[in-house]
Amino acid sequence: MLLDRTHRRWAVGCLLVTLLASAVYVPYHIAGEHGASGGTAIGLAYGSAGLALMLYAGALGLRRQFPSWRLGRGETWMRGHLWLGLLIVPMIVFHGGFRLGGTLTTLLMVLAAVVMLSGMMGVALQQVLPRLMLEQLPLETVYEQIDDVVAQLRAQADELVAAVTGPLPVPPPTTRRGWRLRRVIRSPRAADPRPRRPEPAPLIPGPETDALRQVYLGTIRPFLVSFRPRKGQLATPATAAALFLHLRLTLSPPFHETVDALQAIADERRQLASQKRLHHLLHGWLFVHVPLSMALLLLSAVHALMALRY
Amino acid sequence: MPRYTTKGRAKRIKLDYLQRSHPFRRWKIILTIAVPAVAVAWIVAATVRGDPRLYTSGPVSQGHAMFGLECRLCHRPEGAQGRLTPVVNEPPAQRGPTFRLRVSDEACLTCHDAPAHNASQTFTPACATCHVEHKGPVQLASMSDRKCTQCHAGLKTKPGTSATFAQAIGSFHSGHPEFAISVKDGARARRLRLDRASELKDAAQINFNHEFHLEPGLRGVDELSAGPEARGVTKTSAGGRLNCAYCHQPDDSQAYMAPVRFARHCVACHALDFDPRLPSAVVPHDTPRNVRAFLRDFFATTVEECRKSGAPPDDAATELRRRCQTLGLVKADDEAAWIATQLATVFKQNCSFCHSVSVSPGRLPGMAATAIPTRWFPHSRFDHRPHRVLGCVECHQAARSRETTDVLLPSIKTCRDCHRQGADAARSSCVECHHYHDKALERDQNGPFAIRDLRQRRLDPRRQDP
Repeated sequence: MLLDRTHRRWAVGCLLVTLLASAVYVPYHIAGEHGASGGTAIGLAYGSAGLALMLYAGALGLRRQFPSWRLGRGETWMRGHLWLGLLIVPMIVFHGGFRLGGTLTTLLMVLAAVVMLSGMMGVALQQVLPRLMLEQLPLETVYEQIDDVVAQLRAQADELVAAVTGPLPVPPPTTRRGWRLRRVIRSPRAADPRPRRPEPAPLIPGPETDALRQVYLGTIRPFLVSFRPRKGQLATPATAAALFLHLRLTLSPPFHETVDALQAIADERRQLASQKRLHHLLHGWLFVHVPLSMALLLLSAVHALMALRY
Repeated sequence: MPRYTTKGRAKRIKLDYLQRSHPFRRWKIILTIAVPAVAVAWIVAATVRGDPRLYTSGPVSQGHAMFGLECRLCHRPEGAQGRLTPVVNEPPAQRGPTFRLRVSDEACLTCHDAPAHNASQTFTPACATCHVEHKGPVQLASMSDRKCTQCHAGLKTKPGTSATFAQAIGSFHSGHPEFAISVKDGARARRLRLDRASELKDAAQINFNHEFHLEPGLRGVDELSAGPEARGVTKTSAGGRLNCAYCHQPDDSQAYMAPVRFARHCVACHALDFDPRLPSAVVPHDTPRNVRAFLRDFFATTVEECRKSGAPPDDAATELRRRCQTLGLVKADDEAAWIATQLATVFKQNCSFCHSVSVSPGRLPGMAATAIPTRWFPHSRFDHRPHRVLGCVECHQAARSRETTDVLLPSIKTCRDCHRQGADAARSSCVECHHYHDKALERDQNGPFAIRDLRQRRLDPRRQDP
């Protein structure tokens, strides 16, 4: 979510509440025997407010599970999650009187810190990465479909090259999720009742087709097969352009259309790899934020229960 | 030229991709379930193990460290009654169904003695409101002034009783009255503040001039400085000079000063030679009855010896005759009257040098009992040890005191010079000088528990071993 002018009121409100909480806390801390304590009325008020805010922040996940529920706009929920979630920090710090306390409360503080930091990192990344992807990845696709699209690109490249050089000695498409790629590639053909096209014959048999085949099998196809294509001559647009320029200069014009298509496929593959990497960066913090948030909520409930008991 | 149209790219996407599990989403769900599950497992494991450290809000104080893992010693079911209720290894049925385990006064009183603060106080706070636990290695007896001023800022007493102390004390700096001592007023003691100088009177019944004794060159002090008593003597160009510490030495607690003893602090200079005519004769420092018995016996023996002075003349007899003539005994017709006169003279001239003596013919001389208080401010406590960096006269104006009746205690202003507000000042909270619980009412040192009871956390004195 982009932090724009529409967040101003939320930010000001959050700041005011923090100032108010601080204004109450300072005299309360000074007057306290050993500083502030979570067990006093004011300390419990801070703790209750912190727990309520945690529950609200956690409710965002529930809200997303049921998007059709008429519980306010999702955007408002997200803003609340962001700013009210930020208010949890002063509340629980004031609740604990800037002390970690015992084992459980220390763990809660650590969890809260990690959850907050990961959330802040997520917000910060969202200010930068989506715009970056929009600018640098015009061929962006659905993240979950990247592997399937890559498999399709590879099959397409195989067909293109085979069409001009003849059958390629390539193994069935296998990667770490090879079974799925086979299905992606073969299933449409298997379902196709029409007879298969005959194996392509080389366009112009000779040294040029051998050269293309050699470059394809040696450089281009490994790049398309690679799960993380971040090395090699095709890893950057400049070196890739140099390679394909060399191919065009080496091969005669009838091959150029194939070379152009292969370059486009390689470019798309590179962009998809970048998209995947940026997606992991953009959403990877959720692997920390969400599970630890759930643990924080659960342990906070236990802490509240035990505080009532003792 | 683009290889794909938007439509062509869209066709590459399988429309059911949202229904198919993707590792990214799958792992997120797995972690979202697994991490809280680990947390639950941790809680359950700690509960099964009976490890209560999980829920503590902080380490207990040093005094309770050995009970730190036995929550139930202090946190008892609300149904538990009485200070002797067994709290450990108790059948669950007897614990009651209560969920809450609060710290009650009874739990504290199982081990501790907490005498009442004052008989006329209107309310007694719960132990845990003042002695706050789980704050780490703090002193539980140390607390803020607020705990005291909640009552003493506007002191109220039970109906029918009157407040004997100031009724509006905000802190040591606000509302605290001038220090007061107890002065005998006839048969009863009267509290008198130090700022009422005209009424102040030290009723010690000992004649003593501090100023004189602190002057250099006093007779006999030079001899002290060469002997084992040199610790309290300073050598000056004008001769030896007594220090305060020569007479005023700490007691066993090191907090207060031990009483000054004649035999220890005075006799080195003030030998009890009661008659200049008899320089070798010394009277014991004892009760008037014993002193009179000693003197009577001494003078009777002397008379007896003078009577025998008619023996063959030799050197000893000559000396005795000379002493008897000096004493006037050879002329005395009534020996009994002579002895009575000598006794009265000794009591009047010698004992009265320090003591208040009244002599009546035919009666035991009266001597006012000394009344130097061992504690001038019994309502507060003071420790000389932390103050030993100061010279005595910084607080006690002894160097300018000539009269026995001078009260040489420091006023509250003197204390406030250092015990003031601010970060660069000595502490000035109430508990620096005052105890809440009346220590005089504490039970004796013979406690109800055995070491085994404490080690096994069985804090019920009534419990009988099987």
